[in-house]
Amino acid sequence: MINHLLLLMLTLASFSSVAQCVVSGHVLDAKTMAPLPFATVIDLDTEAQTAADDKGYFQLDGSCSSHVIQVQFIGYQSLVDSVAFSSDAHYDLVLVQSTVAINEVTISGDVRNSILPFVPMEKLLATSFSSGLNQHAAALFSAVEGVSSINTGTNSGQPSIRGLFGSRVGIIVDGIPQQNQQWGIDHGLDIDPWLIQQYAVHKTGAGLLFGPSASSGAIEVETSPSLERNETKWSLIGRGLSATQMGEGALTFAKRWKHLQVFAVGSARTYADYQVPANDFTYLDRTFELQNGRLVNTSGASNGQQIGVLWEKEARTVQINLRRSHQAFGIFPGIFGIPSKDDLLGDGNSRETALPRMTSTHSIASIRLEELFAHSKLEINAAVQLSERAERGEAHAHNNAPRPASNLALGLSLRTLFFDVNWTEFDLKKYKVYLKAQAELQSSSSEGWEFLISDYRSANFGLMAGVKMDLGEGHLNLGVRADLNELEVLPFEELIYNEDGVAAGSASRSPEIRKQFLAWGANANYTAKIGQTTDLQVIMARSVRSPNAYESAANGVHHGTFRHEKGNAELTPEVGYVFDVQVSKRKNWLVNPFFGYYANFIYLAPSAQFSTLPEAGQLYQFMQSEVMRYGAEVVFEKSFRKWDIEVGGAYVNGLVLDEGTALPWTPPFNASTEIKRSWSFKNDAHSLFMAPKVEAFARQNQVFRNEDPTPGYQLLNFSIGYVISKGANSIEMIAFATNLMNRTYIDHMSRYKILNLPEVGRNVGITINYKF
Amino acid sequence: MDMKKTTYLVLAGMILFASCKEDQDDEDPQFDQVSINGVVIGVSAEGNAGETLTLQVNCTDNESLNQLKIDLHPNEDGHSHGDVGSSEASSGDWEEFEIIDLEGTSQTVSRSYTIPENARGEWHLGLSLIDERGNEATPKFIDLDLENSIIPAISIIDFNGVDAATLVLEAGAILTINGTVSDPSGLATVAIMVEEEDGTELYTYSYEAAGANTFDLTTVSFEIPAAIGETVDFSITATDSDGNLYTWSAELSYL
Repeated sequence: MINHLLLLMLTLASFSSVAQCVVSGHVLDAKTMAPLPFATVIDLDTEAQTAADDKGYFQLDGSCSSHVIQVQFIGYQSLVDSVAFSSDAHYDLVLVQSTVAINEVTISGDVRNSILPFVPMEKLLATSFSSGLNQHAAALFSAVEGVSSINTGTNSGQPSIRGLFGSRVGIIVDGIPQQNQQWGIDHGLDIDPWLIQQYAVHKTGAGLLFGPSASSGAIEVETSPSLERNETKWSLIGRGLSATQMGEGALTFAKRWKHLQVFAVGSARTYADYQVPANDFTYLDRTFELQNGRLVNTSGASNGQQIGVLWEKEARTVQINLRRSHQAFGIFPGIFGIPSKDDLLGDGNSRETALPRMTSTHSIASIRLEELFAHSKLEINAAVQLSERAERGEAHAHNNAPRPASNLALGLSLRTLFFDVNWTEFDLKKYKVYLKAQAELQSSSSEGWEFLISDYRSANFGLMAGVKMDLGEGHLNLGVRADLNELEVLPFEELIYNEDGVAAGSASRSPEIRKQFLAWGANANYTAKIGQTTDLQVIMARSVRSPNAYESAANGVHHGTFRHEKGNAELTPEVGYVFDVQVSKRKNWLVNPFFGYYANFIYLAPSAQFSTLPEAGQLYQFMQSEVMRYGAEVVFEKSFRKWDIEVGGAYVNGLVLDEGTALPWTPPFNASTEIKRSWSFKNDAHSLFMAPKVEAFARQNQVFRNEDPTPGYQLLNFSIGYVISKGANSIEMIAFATNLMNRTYIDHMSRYKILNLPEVGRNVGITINYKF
Repeated sequence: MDMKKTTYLVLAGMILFASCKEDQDDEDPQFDQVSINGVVIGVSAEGNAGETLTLQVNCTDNESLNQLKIDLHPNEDGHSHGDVGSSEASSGDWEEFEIIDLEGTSQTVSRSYTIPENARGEWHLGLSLIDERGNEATPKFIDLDLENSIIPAISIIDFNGVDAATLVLEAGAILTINGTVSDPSGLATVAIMVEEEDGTELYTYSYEAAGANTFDLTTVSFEIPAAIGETVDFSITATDSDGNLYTWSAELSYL
């Protein structure tokens, strides 16, 4: 084992040729022994996979040793077993039918049919059950230890991977990085949870595959469902949440013919004003009273639609997706300038959205082409995206400026064009080679009587090459990536008015910025087995991220964070060196410590100046410093009979070495215990589960300058579900409650902590999903 | 070495490292002393319209001061700053806002302001302080209670026994105002006006006070006129013998 560790320190690795053996057999139904056609068989050791033919017959090539394989088929419990590859090994693999996928299934193959993931990941099938258990998509992803959800509002959240979020965590949907101005900590994901079929979480080294916007991690999402030929699926979903009186409805449809598959999802939701267990809040050091804990004018509505077409014939796959999501919600007056007492009283209507309010629309059209050859695969992704946000308020002006004619305070429009080509060459003298070329062009414009960021254009071009080597007892992935990033920010001059309201000059609010950055990143990723059942994964990564337009050029009051934020045109690409070790025993335990050093980590820090803008406090500016980050995730799982127990914990710390303080927004240590009990009745036609969960969050004293510590707290959550199945139809009824004891707590990662506002109290949700 | 043991050692090392206390040299700057007109004050002070208010702020820091912000504003909306402030509103729009550059570890800033003759009620004096590293002192807020013997005073208790904030007017009903108008130099006129939101006059009343020091508003009762909108603007303007005037106004709901 020590020899394998030494091998990691070299830039080139030697290898020895390995004799080829095979395993073949049939995938069968355990009850009827009928073949299961097109079942997926995955070699978890090499990540090679194949599909059984229409008679359930499969064959996999591999080295002449024991391999752990996984067999999957829709509607059946996955099988994981160790088989010995030889010159004529033959196994009949029997699968047990499952009427409902209550538990998330963790697999380690690729999300799609691509051959080799260069970046380790943890993947889960997002069953409708798991979607129904969570308030929104970001909460769904927090099933993975080390991933948490930052609530950004009533029905939205933003995922955080090891305490990093926003422009550092890439959200990749059907191969396309989502671009929705995610530099805003208040900007939540706009992905409908009912769309998600599978998702994969990448932590260290994700930037190698997905680009600089995934330098600290990525979440891959697949929306195309898996259907059998001539199968049609519908589902009708209703959901309600108590804390915000949210009502939601969704309809999904999918149909597959021989080569063609069509799927569609439509959803809509409406919610009332946000309610917190607090009597007042603080804005700019002023304390304002809250009536019955209600944040007036925070009600809203949202809707989403997606249509997808998938065409598969022999070795070719074409997938086209059209998706649109729209939100309209009120903005709490307490964060839109200094409010008046009357503003905070509201008009008694908890569902009416008045000024100030916000609308956000994200539209995306994408296409994916895949072509499989004898020993290689070509994948092309292309997409065009449009993201539009508009903040509207009562027109007002400062410093003698004339009163604006419209109520558009700030409008932002972002257009993104994305294209990438991926080539995978496998079985090339026992190497697998991976090549990628990627391009992303963006253009952003702004309007309105408030200023936050000037118009800008950016372009990123990336080239990536990787090789995967079979070392016999393990595998070594080496990858390198170069990115050329260009940023052009247009200058913005602000008019200055005299006492008579006449323009008497101008002042620069944003200078012209033209930057070009060339940066490179690399990964070395080693995987091996320790004994029969324990996996080792060691990653060394050089991650790189160029400063984005907001970090370089912002200069205004960001209502989402309630402060004046200013960019820094002198920022240089952020380079980090991360070391990550994961030791795990599948479905038993996992230990994953990590350590990272950044010579020039970009973050937002309080400056030594007050903002000169009206109704703004201390000026916050982007800066760079030497930073060290480290932590670990630990998970223990135990399943016996119908019980499943999971105990997990995650710790992260970040140190700004120049300052001698912690990094801002460092999450506190947290641990959780969930105990799940399942029952099945009437020959598995009925199933029931109950799962209480306790989460504990430690007090967070590791804070940056002027950042307040937050006290520790514990939350009791509970979920219960019942499923009735009859043939192809089923009805799932799920009820869940978060913060059952109605604890008052401040989330250290929530922007509302700046206002001294606690999170939502007890929240009870019910989801009913009728599938037919 | 066994891989498991190696992993545990690395993990233990990280936990030990994490439990070490980092050096934090940053200390927040401090407000040593704040005085108004030579009197050291705590959370409240008083002033009189027309007089000069001299503010003196002594600031210190262990390394280097950078900026002081003075923010003086009326409490027109009934907000508070923690323990400072109340629901009492203010009249007049006097505001002072200034950001002052500082240097050194100790500095005293002095500013003199003339309290406008139309200011009365509760003002908030906010002081914020930052040092060169960006550490911010706990902001200091002073409740400034301004008396005014120059302009007339209008004290409204209620309308028909109901607070103005909850009053709902009904056309045709009789409205009685419970309150008084007063001025030490003698009143000249007291005018009452009710207007639609677009400025259309619905009702006007003018009383010639002939130098009286007080005027009892309960002597004025009138039939509420019909209105088109959901609210009307109600105002009482008092003018004294010296030509100083003061207006009390409120938006009243209509049935």
